[in-house]
Amino acid sequence: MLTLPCPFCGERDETEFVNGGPTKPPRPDITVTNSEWIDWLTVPINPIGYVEEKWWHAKGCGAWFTIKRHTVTHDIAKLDG
Amino acid sequence: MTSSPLRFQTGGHINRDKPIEFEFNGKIYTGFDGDTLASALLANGIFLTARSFKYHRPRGVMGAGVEEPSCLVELLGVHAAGNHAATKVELRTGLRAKSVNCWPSPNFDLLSINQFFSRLLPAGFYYKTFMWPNWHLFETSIRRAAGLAAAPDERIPDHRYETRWWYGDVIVVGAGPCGLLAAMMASRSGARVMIVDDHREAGGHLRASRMIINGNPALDWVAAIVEELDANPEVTRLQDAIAWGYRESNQLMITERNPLEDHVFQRGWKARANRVILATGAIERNLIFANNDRPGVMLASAVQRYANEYAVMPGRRAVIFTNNSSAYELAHDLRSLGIDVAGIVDSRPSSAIGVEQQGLDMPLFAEHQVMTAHGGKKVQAVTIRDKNGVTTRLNCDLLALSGGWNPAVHLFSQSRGTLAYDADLASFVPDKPSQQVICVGAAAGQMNLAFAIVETAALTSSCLQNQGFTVAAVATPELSTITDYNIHPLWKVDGLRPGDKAFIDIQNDVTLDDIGLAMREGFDTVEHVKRYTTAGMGIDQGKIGNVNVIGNMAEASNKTPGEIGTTTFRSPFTPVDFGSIAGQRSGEVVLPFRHTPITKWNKAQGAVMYEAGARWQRPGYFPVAGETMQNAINREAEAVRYGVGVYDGSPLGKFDISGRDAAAFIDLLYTNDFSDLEIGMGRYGIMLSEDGMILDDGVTFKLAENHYFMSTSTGYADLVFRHMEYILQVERPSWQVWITPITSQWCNATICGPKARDVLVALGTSVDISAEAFPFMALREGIVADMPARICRVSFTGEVSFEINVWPRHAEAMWHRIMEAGAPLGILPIGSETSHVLRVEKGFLSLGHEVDGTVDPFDLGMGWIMSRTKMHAIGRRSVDIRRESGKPRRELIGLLPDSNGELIPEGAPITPNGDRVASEGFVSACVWSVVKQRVIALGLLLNGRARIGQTVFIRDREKTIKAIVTKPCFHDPQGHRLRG
Repeated sequence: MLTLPCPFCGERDETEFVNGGPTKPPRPDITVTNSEWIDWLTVPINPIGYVEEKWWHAKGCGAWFTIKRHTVTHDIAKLDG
Repeated sequence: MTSSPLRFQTGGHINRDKPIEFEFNGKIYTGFDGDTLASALLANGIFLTARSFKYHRPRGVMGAGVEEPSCLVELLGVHAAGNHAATKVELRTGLRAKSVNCWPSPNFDLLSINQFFSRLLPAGFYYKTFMWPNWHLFETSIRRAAGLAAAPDERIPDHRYETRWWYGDVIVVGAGPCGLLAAMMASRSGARVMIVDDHREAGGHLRASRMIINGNPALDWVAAIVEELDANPEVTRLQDAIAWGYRESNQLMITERNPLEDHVFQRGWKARANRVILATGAIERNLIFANNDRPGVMLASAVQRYANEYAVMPGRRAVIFTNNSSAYELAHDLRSLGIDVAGIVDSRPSSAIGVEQQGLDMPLFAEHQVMTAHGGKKVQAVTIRDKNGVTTRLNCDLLALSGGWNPAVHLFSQSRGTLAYDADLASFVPDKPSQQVICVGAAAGQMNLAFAIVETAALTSSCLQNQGFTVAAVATPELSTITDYNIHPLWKVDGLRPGDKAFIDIQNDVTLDDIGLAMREGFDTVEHVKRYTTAGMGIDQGKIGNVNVIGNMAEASNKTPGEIGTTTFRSPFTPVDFGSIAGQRSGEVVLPFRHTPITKWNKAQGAVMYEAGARWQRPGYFPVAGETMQNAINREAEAVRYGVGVYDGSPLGKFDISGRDAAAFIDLLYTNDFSDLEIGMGRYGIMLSEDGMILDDGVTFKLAENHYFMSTSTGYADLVFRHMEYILQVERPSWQVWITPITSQWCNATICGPKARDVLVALGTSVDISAEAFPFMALREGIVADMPARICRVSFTGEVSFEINVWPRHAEAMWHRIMEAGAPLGILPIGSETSHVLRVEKGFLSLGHEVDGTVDPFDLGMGWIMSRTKMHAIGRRSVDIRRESGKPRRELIGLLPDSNGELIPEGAPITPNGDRVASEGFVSACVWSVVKQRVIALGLLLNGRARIGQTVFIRDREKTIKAIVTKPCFHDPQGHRLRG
C-alpha cells in the first residue's frame, strides 16, 4: 500500500485516497475538432515510468492534487515546475 | 511422565516438565511444551502422516518449518482450520488434528489405488480428459479426490482477530544470527525497531545447531541479545509471527499467532519503516531420485532441527545424500548424538569435498548418487550408484537430503526487487532493490555464517548511518568451526528411468516426467510449466522444489537457470487466515449501515428492511399480519394514489452550493439551463459524465443569489461529490464555489398523495401551501408542526408531494407528528418497493435500472433537457459526437407484458421473435400497477420510440413473454395530479 503526499495533510496512507487517473491537459473548449476532443477524452497516457496523476484525499481534506509517481517502483518524484 | 522411544532423554529446547496431550487421527499422544505437531508425531514414531494430493501415495514429515510440503493437517475443535503444515502448528493443550486427503486413514487409504494408475495421470491429464462435454460435470468428484482439508463451516468463537499498525525506522525480518545482530545495532543506535520472526523463540538456525559462540552455547548469545532488545521500549519483538507480504512504501503485512494476550487469537500487523532489513535465511532443496517422497525421506536441515531443537531422532540408521557441504554439519551432529550413519552419499567428486568431512568416522561415498528409496510406508533402504553405474544397497530408516540452499528471496521479490542467478550458489539471489530494503546473511546468498555476520554488521551500519543514526562498533561474535559452502548442482540423479516416481513438487505430486512432458508439449517458459503441471502451487508454493524445476528446465533446454528465470513470488509467503487480514472488521462492522432517525420506528412497525444505495437501511415494505409482500405493496401504493402516504426520504443526497461562481458551476454540471431559475424555485437536471453518459439526476433549488440546494440520487451522492470537487478543483480552480455535503444535516419526510395538503394543514404550518402560492417545484422555508422546516414541492410518485426537510434532531418528532396528523386521513408509511411501483407507473427514471452507464438523455426521450445554448456543459460534446454517427440506440419504452399477472425479472432480455439470439433490449423494471391493475414494465429497446404499438418478445429463462410497446408513462401523462 502506498503512502501519498497530500499537499495539506502530509504523508498519508493510500486507503484515504481515491485515484483520479493520469493528469489530462486542460479541458478543451468547444472549438476543438471532434477527433481532438476524442483524443483528449479517451487516450490516457500509460507509461512505464513516471506519470503525473490525480488523487483525491477523500477521507481527509478533500483536496484533488497531482503527484508524479513511477508506475513500476512507485517512487514519488518532485513535480516539474 | 511419558517418554517415547525416539526422544532423547536430554537436550533440545523442549520443556520436559510440561507434557501435553494431543489427538491425531482420533488417537491420543503426548508431546512436550515447545514441540510442534510434527516433532511430537515423530517422537511418537508416527511417520505416515498424510496421503498425497493426486496419487494418494504415503507421505510423512519432510521439513521442519514453512517449507514443509507434505504433512498437511486439518485442525479440529476450538482450533479448527484448514490446511496447516504440521511443522508450523505449535503443540497446545487440547490440540486435535487429522490428516488431509485420505479416507478413511493414511494407513489404509481407499484412493491409494490411484498410485497404480499413475501412468494414466500425467501433467495436464484433467485438462485433456475432462473437457467434453463440460469440466463442471467432473469437477466435484475430482475435487473431492484431490482436495485438501475442508475449511471450517462456521465462525470459531474463540478465533478473535485484531489489527495493529506500527511505524518506525527499521523492520528486521528474521531473528536468526544476522537478524538479531542487525536489530541489536539498530536498537543501540536509537532507532525505533521491529523484529519479526516466525519461530516461537528467537535464534533461527542456531536453535537447530550445536554451534558454540564466544565459547558458550550459541543460544546464550541469542538470549543476551533478546534480553537487550526487550529492555528497549523502542523495540517491538514479534515471535511466532510471519511477515507474509511486502507492500508498496515499505509496508510489511505480518500475522502474529498466539499473541500473549488471551483475548486475541491472531493479530495482523501493518508495519511500515523507513528501511527494511531482510534476514530471512535460506530454505533447503530436496533432491530428485525415484521414490524421493517416501516417509523417512527428509531434508537434512529438518533432521538437524528435530534432533537438536526437539530432541527427536526420526530414525535409527541414517543415510545422508547431498550435493553440497552443508549436510556435513548434520553428520557431525549425528555422530555426537551417537546415531548410526550408514553413509554419506555425496554427488560431488572427492576433490570438491573439503574440511567438512574431517573428524567423521563414517562411510563416505563420494561421486555417488541415491538412485531410489525402497520401502512403502517407511523408507527401508536406498540403492546408491557410482559414476560407473555400479550400485550398492544401504539399509536405513532415514534418508536426509540436501540439494543445496535457496536464499529466501520471497519478500525481496515481492518488494519488486530483481533476482539474479548465482552459479556458485546454484540459486537465485537478490539483485537490484526497488524499495528501501537490504538483504543480509543467507537471504543475501552468504551461506558462510562467519562471513555473513561481518557483512551484516557492515550493511546494517551503513543502512543506519544513511538515516542519520550514529552506530557504535559491535563486537563480532566468535564462532566454532564454520566451513565454506560448496555446491555442485545436481538437478536430478543420473540414470532415472521413465516412469520412476521422482517428485519435483512433493505437495502437488508433480514428477520430473511431468516437467519433461510439459516442455515437449511446448510449454517452454517457467510460468507456463508451473500452470500446466501445478509445480510450485499450493500451500507450500514450491519452497523446496521450485529451483529444481528451473534447473531441470535449464538442463533440458540447454540454457542456464538464470535464462529460465523464476516464477513471480507473490504474497502471502505462507498461508494466512483471512481473519488476521480482516481484524476486527467482520460481520456488521465491515461496512456499517447508515441509518436515519426513523430506523428504530420502521423496525418497530415490522418493516422489512432493505439496503438502499450507499449502505442506507431503508424499509422495503410494511406488511401487516399475514400479508404477502405484494399485498403490502399494493396497499401502500393505493394509499398514495387515492389517499396519502409518507416516506422517509432522508438518505437522498443533498448539497449546499454557494459562492460567487455557483450559478456558472451548476450550469457547467447540468445539461439544461439553470441561469433563469428564480429564487425559491427548483429545476430537475441531468448530470452527465464527460463521456456523455448519465451520471446522476436530481432537483436543484435556488435559495438565494449564488446559493443553491442540490439533491442527488441516494446511491450516487458520494460519486457526485467527487465529480463536483474534481470539476471545481482541477478544471475550474479559479472559481469561487463552496460545496457542502448536507445529506445527513437535513432529514426529510415526504408526504404524498391527493390528501397530502390536508395532512400539512392538520400539522399546522406558517407557509401558505395553496397551489397558487406554493406551486410545483417551489421551495418554502417556514414552520411545520412547530419545527423549522424547508418544504420542497417535488414528486417522485406522480402525486402532490411535500418534502418536509427538518434538522436531524427534529426528524423523529416530525415523523410522529405526521403519523398522528395523518391518522384520520388513513396515512400509511411506504417503503422503497412502493416508491418503485409509483415511479414505474410514472416512467420516472431510476439510476441503476434504466440508467446503467450506457444511456444519454436522448435515449430516455429527454432530449429537451439538452440545452442548445450550453455546448460547454460536461458531457455535452461527447453526446453530440456519438449521435452524429446515427447508429440506432436503445430507447426507453413502456411494456404491457402478457404474463398472466406474473412479474418479469429485471434484466430479462428482449430478443427478435423471442429467439435465443442477441438481445435488442431488456426489461429494466416490472411491477404490478395499482392504477392499471395489471403488470407493467419499463425497458430499453432498440429504436424503441419508433416501435410503440408493436409487439416484442421478452425471454425469462425458458419462457417467452409477449409484450406491447407503449410510451414509458402509465399514469397521468400530463402531470396534472402532481401539480395539483
